[in-house]
Amino acid sequence: MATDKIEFKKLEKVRYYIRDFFINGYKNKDVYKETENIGNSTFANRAKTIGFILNDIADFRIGSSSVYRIMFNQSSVSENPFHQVLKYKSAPESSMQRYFVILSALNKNRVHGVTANEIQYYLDGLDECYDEKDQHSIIATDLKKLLKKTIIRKSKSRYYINETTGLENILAGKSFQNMLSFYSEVSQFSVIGSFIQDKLVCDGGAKHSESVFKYKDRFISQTLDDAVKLDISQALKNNSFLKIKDDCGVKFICKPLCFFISCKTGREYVFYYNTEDSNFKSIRLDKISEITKCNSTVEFDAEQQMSNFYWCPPYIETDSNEHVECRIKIDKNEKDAYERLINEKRNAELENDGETVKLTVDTNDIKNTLFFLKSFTGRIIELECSNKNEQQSFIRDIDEALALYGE
Amino acid sequence: MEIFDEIYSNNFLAVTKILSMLSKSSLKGKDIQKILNEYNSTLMLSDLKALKLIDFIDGEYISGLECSCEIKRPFTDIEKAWLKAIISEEKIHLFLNDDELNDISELLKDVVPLFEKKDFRFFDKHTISDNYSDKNYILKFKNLIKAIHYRMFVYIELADSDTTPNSRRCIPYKLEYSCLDDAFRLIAFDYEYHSLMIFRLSEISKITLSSDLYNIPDENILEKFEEPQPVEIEVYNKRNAIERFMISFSNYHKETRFIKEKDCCITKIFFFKQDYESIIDNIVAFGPTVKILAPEFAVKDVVSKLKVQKNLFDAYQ
Repeated sequence: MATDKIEFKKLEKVRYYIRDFFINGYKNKDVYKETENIGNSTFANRAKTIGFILNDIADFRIGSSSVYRIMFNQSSVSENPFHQVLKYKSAPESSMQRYFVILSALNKNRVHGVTANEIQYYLDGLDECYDEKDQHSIIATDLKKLLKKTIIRKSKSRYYINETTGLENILAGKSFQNMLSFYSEVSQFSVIGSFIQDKLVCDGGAKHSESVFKYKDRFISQTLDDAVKLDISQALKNNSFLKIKDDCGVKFICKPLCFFISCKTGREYVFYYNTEDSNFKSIRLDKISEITKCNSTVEFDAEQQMSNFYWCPPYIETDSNEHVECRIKIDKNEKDAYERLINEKRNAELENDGETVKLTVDTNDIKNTLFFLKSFTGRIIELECSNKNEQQSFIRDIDEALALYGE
Repeated sequence: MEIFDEIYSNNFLAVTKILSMLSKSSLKGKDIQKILNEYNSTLMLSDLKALKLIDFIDGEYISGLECSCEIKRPFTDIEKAWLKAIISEEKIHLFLNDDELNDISELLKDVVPLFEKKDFRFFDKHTISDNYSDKNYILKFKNLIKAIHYRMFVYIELADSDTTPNSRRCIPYKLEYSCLDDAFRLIAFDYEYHSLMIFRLSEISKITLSSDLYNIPDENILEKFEEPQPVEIEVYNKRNAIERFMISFSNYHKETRFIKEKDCCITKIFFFKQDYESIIDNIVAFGPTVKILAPEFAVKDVVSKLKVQKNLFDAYQ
């Protein structure tokens, strides 16, 4: 095999370092090596991987002070480059070989199908790659996997290709191509749309033409968390419990209830019931490192909790509620500022008297709420918080920010 | 169900393509290498030989498989489930007519959708999104897709015709979708005034296709786009500001440098004129953890906002 190939066996680590490079736009080699406990060559390989995968949107440079810089220009691309990360799963050589032997045998014998023994015969032709003793059970496992993916079907002892020709034909139509082009960029699990497009082209369909669409305010790195999101989504569908391990190594058993996604920051959370402390909480998807299915049964009433959306999905650090009242100067002619307030107010109540708007909110994340209010700096006439420390800190921040500019 | 699976990988796609082509005729080494490159495959010709998937005979490559034939991988369970979820989406009528929707629904009738709308709750989303069930909206959308594909001129009539001419002849360039306000905008080139225009699709009352085709290359249209301007900001490594700042601006084109000596980073965010106010408001929200370095007008705007706010607080207290 090629020596410098870019392939990943598991996604966990890859998604962390790719996300870090992308979000921050730089990586300090010394700090990174220290926190990750890796050597020079591993760091260099990781940096090289980023440069390779994000080639279309990134200008990757090694700067002074051991700092790798990436300049991103995602506005120029219509296809999400992070989809590529999910297309570099490595496969053992023998497994790849068996896959193609099985698929070619099934494609060749579409009507009559083939038995496991016949597949074994075709593999025997490839001689020394196989240990005769284990071959039977290996083929059985491969076939089981393909059955699970519904690529093949079994009737009595024969295996057949699970025809999807009707679907292939219909998706080749122009309307469907536009549909795939759009949803492959903006839907949940958008990478699956990209897989479908790849398959259609590989089967001889027309190559993707230049998309008629352009995208704004999308968070392309969300794709890196799609595998985690899919596991949770399946648990939601099956009403089952999961064991989650976060990026600090903490494990807990929970029942996922729904996802909360911010359209402004791109942050994605799963809201869950924690069976260990009988609490409702949430965790960001990019903070989840591992998910395993588990059997558990606990009775609880989630309906009311799910509708209790305060300032943000509730999570461990910010489970105390505070009250905030703020009067903001917005003239009736300033449509944009008022619209932004309406769009981003979350659970706050607004009272508009034509010149000012009074915002009243109960929040479970006072810092985050005040951060939002700071984006109206220059307009805030009155501010009252139940948490006086945070209120004073808000006022102090204005002085400190002015001091930065020598004012 | 696995989303990270080798059967969707570039390598598997490339090998599928190569074996399918070899089932029809032999190939030269350079042709095989070309396919591997096209698919961004990390495999080399020698890898395929070592796996006995290909054989080298009389100066050309042939399939190494006994059952050489065109290989087609059927759709997987996850792909079908994703399609089933997509066709239940509210915007689907923009793309498919009733017959097309019935056809694909019939093919997927036994499939359980991969996800359901009720499982996802979006926040910070703008409250007024476009009405995707409106028949006129669907017609405008389909007309624009057709015009962009076939490079047709269109006539646009705006809903607010008091302030703008009734009908404009223009070249539709792209349909821009914003995830934040869940709306489409038309980016078009005004042929008469040689300028770019951006209209929210809901603000356009009618789109009429012209039988005239244009032959202006996209590059010439792109030239009309204004260059995004950079705003340069110093972000200090306190209150987790670097991570929060970078996540907040992760959807912008940016350049970042880490300054080890000052334990901060300097980042340039590239913005278009229409986004300037929003960017400045978001930067100010970071308070004393960030400082705008350039351009001068942005520094002045931020200082002015801070001074006004200080005076408002002084008056209040």
